[in-house]
Amino acid sequence: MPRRAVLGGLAASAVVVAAAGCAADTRQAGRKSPGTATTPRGVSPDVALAITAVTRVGTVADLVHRTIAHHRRLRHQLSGLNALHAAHLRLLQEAVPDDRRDAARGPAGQHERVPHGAHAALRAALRAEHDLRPQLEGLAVRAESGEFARLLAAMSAAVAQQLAAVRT
Amino acid sequence: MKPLAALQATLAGEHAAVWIYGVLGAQASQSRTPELFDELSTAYALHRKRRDQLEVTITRLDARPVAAEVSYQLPNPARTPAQQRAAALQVEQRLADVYGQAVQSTTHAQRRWAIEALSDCAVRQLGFGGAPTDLPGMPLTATGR
Repeated sequence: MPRRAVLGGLAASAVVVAAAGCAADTRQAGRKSPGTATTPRGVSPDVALAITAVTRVGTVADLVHRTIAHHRRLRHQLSGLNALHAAHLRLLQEAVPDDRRDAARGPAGQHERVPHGAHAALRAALRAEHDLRPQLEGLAVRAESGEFARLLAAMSAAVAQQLAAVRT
Repeated sequence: MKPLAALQATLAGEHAAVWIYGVLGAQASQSRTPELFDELSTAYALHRKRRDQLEVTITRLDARPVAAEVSYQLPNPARTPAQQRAAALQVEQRLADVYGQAVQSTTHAQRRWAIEALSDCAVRQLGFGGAPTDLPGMPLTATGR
């Protein structure tokens, strides 16, 4: 599929979120948003959601990447998810201002272990993907920007598609 | 787009889907292509349910739900199983975009419902020969579909 077209077309909307977030920073500074207990101080709610999304997608992407590295035979089944997360992360990172990128990387050294057996490793990766979907959907529901909500919902739907494709 | 307008547009999309799936189900052969027939029947039932849910939601907003057209144009003649699959795929792709707009235009419970419907459309596309995409339900111009 024309991945470049997707990224080219949507990077703009992600940047809009970032720009809106930066502009809102002054208004939101020091204010706690409902349901965003982990919101970094001074960050607008949608930028905080983008940071959370980068962390969560990044965690699952890392697990899938390491699973493929440990079990090459799973490459065929997981390559679609691997590429999908890379594309989504690029878009989400566009929505995070430069000075917040560190916050979006998440705590280091807390990687889920890849099981030794390929079957168990595949199960673990798919379980993580399955858990990611409601997380993205929850973020979409909380998003203040309708466009950003749509983007997050589309990401969740894309993961659902890939999971269905792996199962068939 | 205002939330009510997005819900009405979604209902209009579901009216069309129900009509088209009704025709596709009548065209498909239960004996020769049982799998396709089942998929079309399941989709028909699901879209009827979503249409009914939308009508209830819109009525609760003190608005009159948009009525169905007398008929709709099929995406293709739908004479062969391949054409029927292609038509069903197009229905689900269009509906995914409509639900994407609903996600964008609504909030809270309505948005959550639209998100679920969007995912369902995205997955159902695979059963009709569609391929996974990076962002199902995003505007056509952005996805390059």
